[in-house]
Formats: sequence, structure tokens, C-alpha cells
Amino acid sequence: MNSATLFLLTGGFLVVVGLYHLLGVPSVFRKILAANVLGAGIFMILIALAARQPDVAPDPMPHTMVLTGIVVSVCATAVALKLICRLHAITGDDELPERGEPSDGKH
Amino acid sequence: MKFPRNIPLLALCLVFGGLLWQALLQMPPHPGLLASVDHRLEESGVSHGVTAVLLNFRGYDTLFEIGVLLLALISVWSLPDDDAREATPPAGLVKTAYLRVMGPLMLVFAGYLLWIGSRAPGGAFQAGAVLAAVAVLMQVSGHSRGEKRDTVWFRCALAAGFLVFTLVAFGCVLRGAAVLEYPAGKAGGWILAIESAGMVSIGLVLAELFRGHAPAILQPGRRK
Repeated sequence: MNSATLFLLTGGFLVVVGLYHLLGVPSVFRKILAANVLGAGIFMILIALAARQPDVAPDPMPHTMVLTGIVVSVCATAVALKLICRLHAITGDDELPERGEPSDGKH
Repeated sequence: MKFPRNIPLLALCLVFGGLLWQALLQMPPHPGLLASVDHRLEESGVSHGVTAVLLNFRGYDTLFEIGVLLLALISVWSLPDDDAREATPPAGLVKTAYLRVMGPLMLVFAGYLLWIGSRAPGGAFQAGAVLAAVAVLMQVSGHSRGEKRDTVWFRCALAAGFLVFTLVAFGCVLRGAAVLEYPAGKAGGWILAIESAGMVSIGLVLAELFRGHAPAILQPGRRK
């Protein structure tokens, strides 16, 4: 197993970890962290896919996609964190209301 | 232990993971677009493949990437602030000493990254990230009250990267060329200009995203 394969599998593992926590954890802040882990896994997979041929230079296209992706994911995380701050300021809570519960805050 | 909280979801994710691993391991080796990039690299104005793709061959994506940075900043600034967060932390001894040593070094390093981007990994985003790191260090160690953000020059600096890139990209149409079709032989200079403005903008926008609250002049109810 060469290093590209190792990064490929590690990226896949991170994707699964991020996906499970994004969908399964009720805390919104932990969902954002899980989304970042998911993104890191996808970036790792992209970079590993760029280095599939062992003796040739890596493909520059996935590298640029990852660079753009990192910046966009940082922006999305920033907006999401600000929204979490607002959620916490309005409801004092870290979780979104369940189906059927009133969604006006208990301040 | 609260893990696993949701066993059916865990099973689904593990199955998905297994399928993903299978799919990834079965992908055949392929050089990708390396040959196409190397073929036109001399015309691009830079000698590093990733920078050429980022700022020349796929420059349109980078233009809107800088636009997304501004969009995120506007979104963060348009949400009202929690008053508790506006207090700056007291200046810490260790952080201040670290800032005094590392701050100038990081500034020089950012300039180096900007310059070396035409030949090696580097460029506007990497240099902007290092600049943002200096600003974050200043904020975290209590040396950045954010008063200078009230001027119009600050907002000009935030928008400069996107503005310069848009002007250069669409200004190419005035010469009769396509959008983002730099003048032959002078592409390197235009790319450097775009990257320099971009570095300043990216660093400032990232630092403001970290700070999280709008300058006083833009907050509702406090307009002077």
C-alpha cells in the first residue's frame, strides 16, 4: 500500500465519521465540526486521487479544486458559527427544535 | 458512553463507507489534466501548474471564490451582535511576546508566499491566510480593538481583491479579447497585480470573519 492509497482510505474514513456525526448528533455546533471533518475527508480523497500515478507529477486540477474548496468551506463555517451564536442568543439552546415542538425560543 | 447514539444510521454510514472504499480503490491510474496544463504552461505567465490553473486557465472560479469570501463577510456582518462578545480580552504576556517575535516574521513570510507563487506552491490565498493569522493573533492577544474599521478605506481594502480581479477580467473585453484572456506575454504581470490585491483582501476578510461582529459604523442604531 503506497501513501496515496493510505490517504484515500483515511479520507474515506473521515467522510464516514463526519457524515455520521453530521446526521446523528443533535448539537448544532457539533454538526458544524462534523461538516468540517467531512470536508477534510473529501479534500484528502481529492488530493490522493491526483497522485494516482506513482512516478509522474501529480495532476494540478484536483489541487486547485481543493484550494477553492477550503476557502469556501471556511466561509460557510464562519456564517454557520455566526448563526449558531444567534441561535444561542435567541433560544439559549444548542439544538434545533424537534418536529412538533414550538419554535419560538424559551428565553 | 453515548456512542453509538443511532445504530441504524451507524450501519448505513458503515455500508456507505465500505462502498466508498471499494469505489476509490478500483479507480485506475490516470494522469488527469497534467499533460494539458503542461502543454500551455509557458503562455500562462507563471511557471507553476497549480497557480496557472487557479489564476489563468480556471480564473473564473477563483474570481467567484473571492466573491464568496465577501458574501460570507456580508452575511456575518448583517446578523446582529451579542453584546457580550465585543469586549476585547486583556493583553496576555505570552501572546504579546509571541506576537512581537512572530508578527514581523509572518508578514515577511506572507510577502514571500505571494512572490514565490509563480514558481512554487504559494500565491494570494496562502499569503492572505498568513496575514489573517497575524490579525487573529492580534485579536486573541488583546491588541486589536477594531476602531480603524470605521473608515471607508477599510471597506475599500476588503473589496479591493474582488474589484481588481473583476476589472482585469472584464477589462480584457475592451481589447477585443474574451473575458479573462490576458494580453499575450504580459499575463504574469496582471496575475501578480490580481494576486497582490487579492492577498490584502483575503487576509482582511478572513480576519473579519474571525472577529465576527460588524464595525460600529455599520451596526444598526449606532450610525454616526
